Amino acid sequence: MPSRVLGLSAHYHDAAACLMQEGRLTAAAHEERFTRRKSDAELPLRALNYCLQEGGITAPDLDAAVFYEKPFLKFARVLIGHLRSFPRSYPSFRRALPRWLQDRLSLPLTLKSELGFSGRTYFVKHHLAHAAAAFLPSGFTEAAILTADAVGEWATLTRGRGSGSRIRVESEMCFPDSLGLLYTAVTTFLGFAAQEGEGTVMGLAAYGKPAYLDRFRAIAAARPDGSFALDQSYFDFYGEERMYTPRFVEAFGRPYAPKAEMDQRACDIAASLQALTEEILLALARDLRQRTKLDDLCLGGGVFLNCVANQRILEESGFKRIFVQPAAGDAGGAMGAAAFVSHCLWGLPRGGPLSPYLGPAFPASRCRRALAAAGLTFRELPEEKLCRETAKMLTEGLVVGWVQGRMEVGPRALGNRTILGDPRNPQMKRFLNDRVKHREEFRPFAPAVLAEEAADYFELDSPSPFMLLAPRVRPQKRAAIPAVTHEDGTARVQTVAEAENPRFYRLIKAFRELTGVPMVVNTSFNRRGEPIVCTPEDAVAVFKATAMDALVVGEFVARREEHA
Amino acid sequence: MLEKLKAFNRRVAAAVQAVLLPAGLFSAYYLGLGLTWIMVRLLKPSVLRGPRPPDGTFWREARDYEPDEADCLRQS
Amino acid sequence: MSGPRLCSRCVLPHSPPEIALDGEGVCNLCREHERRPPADPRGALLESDFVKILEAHRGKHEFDCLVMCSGGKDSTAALYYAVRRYKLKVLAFTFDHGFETEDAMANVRRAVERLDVPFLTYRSTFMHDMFARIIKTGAPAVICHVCAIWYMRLTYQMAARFDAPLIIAGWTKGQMTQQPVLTKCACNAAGPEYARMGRATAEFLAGLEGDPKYGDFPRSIESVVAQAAKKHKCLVLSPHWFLPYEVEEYVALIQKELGWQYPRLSYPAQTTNCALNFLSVHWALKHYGYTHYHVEMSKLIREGLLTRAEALAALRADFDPELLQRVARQLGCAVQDQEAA
Repeated sequence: MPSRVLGLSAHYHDAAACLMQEGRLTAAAHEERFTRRKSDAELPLRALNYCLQEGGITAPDLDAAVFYEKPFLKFARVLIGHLRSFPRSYPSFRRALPRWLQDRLSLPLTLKSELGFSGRTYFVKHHLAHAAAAFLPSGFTEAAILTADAVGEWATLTRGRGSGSRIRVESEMCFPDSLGLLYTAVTTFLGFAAQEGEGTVMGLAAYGKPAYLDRFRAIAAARPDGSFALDQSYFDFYGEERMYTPRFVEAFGRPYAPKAEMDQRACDIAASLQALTEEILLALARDLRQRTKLDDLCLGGGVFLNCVANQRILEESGFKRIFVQPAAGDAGGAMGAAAFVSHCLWGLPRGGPLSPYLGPAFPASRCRRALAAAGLTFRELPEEKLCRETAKMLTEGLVVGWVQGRMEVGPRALGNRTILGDPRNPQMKRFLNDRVKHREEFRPFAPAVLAEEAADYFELDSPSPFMLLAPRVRPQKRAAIPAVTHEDGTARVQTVAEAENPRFYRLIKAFRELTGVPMVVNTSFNRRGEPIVCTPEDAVAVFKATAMDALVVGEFVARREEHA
Repeated sequence: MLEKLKAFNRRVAAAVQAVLLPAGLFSAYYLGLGLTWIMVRLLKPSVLRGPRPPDGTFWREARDYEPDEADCLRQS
Repeated sequence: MSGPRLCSRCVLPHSPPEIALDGEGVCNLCREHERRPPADPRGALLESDFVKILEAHRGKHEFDCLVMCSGGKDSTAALYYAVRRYKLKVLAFTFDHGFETEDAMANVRRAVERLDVPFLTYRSTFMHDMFARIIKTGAPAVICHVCAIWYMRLTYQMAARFDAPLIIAGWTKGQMTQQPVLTKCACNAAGPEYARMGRATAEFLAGLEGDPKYGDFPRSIESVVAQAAKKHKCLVLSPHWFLPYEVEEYVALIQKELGWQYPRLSYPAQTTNCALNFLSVHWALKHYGYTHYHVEMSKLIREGLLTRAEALAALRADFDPELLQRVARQLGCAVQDQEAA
């Protein structure tokens, strides 16, 4: 019976690979972590190699490979899109066509030549992959499913339901009516990079008022069931330089240059966009709840990395529980495609709760060598002492890089490739933004909190293990944790249960024992514009290039003052 | 000697590609896509607009989302 | 270790003009490495590159590959991977010039038994006279280098005779050539670290012209490769060049799966080299102040695959004089012969 399938996503952004064996996800990783190129979209050879090695097999041992979209359908949409915007789409056509003809339509041949794999290659529709990624590992026996992203082949939004190992996508919305593309267009208008800056815009929204909401509502023309159609006179998705037209500029003012100062207008535009996004998603979720009468909802696709919107859906849509894939974007598409093949095609039973720790881990010898090769002075400590000493460093106001175990999959660091700080310290946010992450001062930081004590600090009564919810911080606690309370009084929380990440849990517990506060600042271990670190060597390089005070890699601790 | 010849061939191929590729893309776009655009505008303009969903909603019925194995082996 | 001044980063000694320490005690090779732009992660060899080569040859010959087995950890792991991981049709091959240790041979025997692969041993004292000549004449030629020429020629001959298109060795990344993987089979003998050793060995071999026994002995590894290529197309690869595993990981694997054991006595520490190696190392240290093991480990240090402390510990050479004499006697010599020459 076939049981080993390699899932992959590539060519657009966020290339990734995963391996499922006997219905269980054994490995998954983003290609960018290996190549050190942010949002690397090339065929994920390094991630593929890692997944096979983690699974103890080679490519000829695979029963199948699966791709997260239907390339020919997507190519047809690309051509028709260029046709519809003829003749101004020539610059985009000139860029796109060679890439398509090079290798995007011949994946089976590419897998044979690059991996030595000549077995079956499956292709799963993009939003079906997102739906599978959201539903199949959710643990729900039956649930409603909503997916939303920029665009797959044609679909930009789908709704349906899952039951057992069956997924039924009932309706879809199609390009160019796309919430993801709308958000990205405005992101670029505000001077941030597409596919990277959307989270920044979400953070910026807390500083503004929805003064432009009516203008956005007029552009989106949403219906009560949440469906909408974008007024295309405001957008140019085939433009060479910009995704928006002069009409958009007329409505919203001069666009912002990259790295421009964010004034009140920018904050208000961000707030208005966020408000519209929440309105539409809430309407979609409520309508779906009405239609399906189901209690559980699964969310997939890059739009659901918007944790503020997710929180509103949890609180206001009528669904009792929601599940959001930790790799909700296209990397999750690879996982979803593999899950679809394993469970829906091959009938393998669905497994237990999804762990995001699916990337590579490194043995102690490698960690030690990385630190020694960098000329750092370091000590080896047993785990109990390690957690206590790290917690103590945090209470002293130090910023600590923390690399443990298997790397997370998804855009968030969840305790294994993390920079830690003291959430009680009001200066921590500025220090981290200025001296470590080198990013805008308005960017918030997020807490990782002991699961059983999260409700004491946050208006949250369900787990949030993947940092994809943004509950309000309880008013009486805000003063205690200023570093992780955002401008609007919310926090993007990760709840940490001991069974999910024992060492990270013990670290936070040690911090609680010293301070009474059961959480730490958890931000991803990377510099601006770079992927999250993967190897001990990556971590050492970032440590040396920033103002972090200490580095903990496995059981080894290096402090900057000791090295100096 | 062989290495030098290979390097020379690579440069020639790159130069030819640098000329042929833009010319090919230009033709494909303005002739291929352009003629198609004209014909579609005359004969079936709805292709340029896209399908209109039913009144009251922009949702469309989703198709081909329950593929079997044979469907999944296809790239379309 | 006492003796010449060592680079503060790697383990090569001050040995001008090829290896020179600067004011900070860092050698020119480490400085050159430092000046190189960081390696593009996309340029690193991947396991899939290795698998592609294997698949291109699988099932087309009597054997898919011949695996060189010394009983050491690296070649034993290579054998394990070839059989269990890549499921190749393997012919295991061990050569013994009369100085292989019982520990090494026991490791090989256990491995081939547990993996159940065909196994070929070739034992010959053909090279003894050459080794003895090096000692008696006091030539600064490196015994291990001429031995390498011998065993590579032998290995190519076996691959041709048993129709194997691939030779799999257990060479580490420190033994990896800078040239394209497929065209060379050993260290980059053109590197400055080997300049004097290479010249000395080449001079010694040139002196064998017209010798009745060794007259047509190859003068270099390159000529071995060139001659072999005329008779039988064969690639030489090591899985360690393509796999990301630390040595501790695969040692644990072969200990568990194949009952592999560290030898009681070997140089460097925790390797499995023959008894003659002690004598070769003794003389290389006397003539040059370092050995090819220092070169290999220095490369691993620069790549971050080994710490300097680990290398120094492994390379400590305080041999028992009686051991050296015992080995020399097997060649009909005495250690003093080199010193007297």
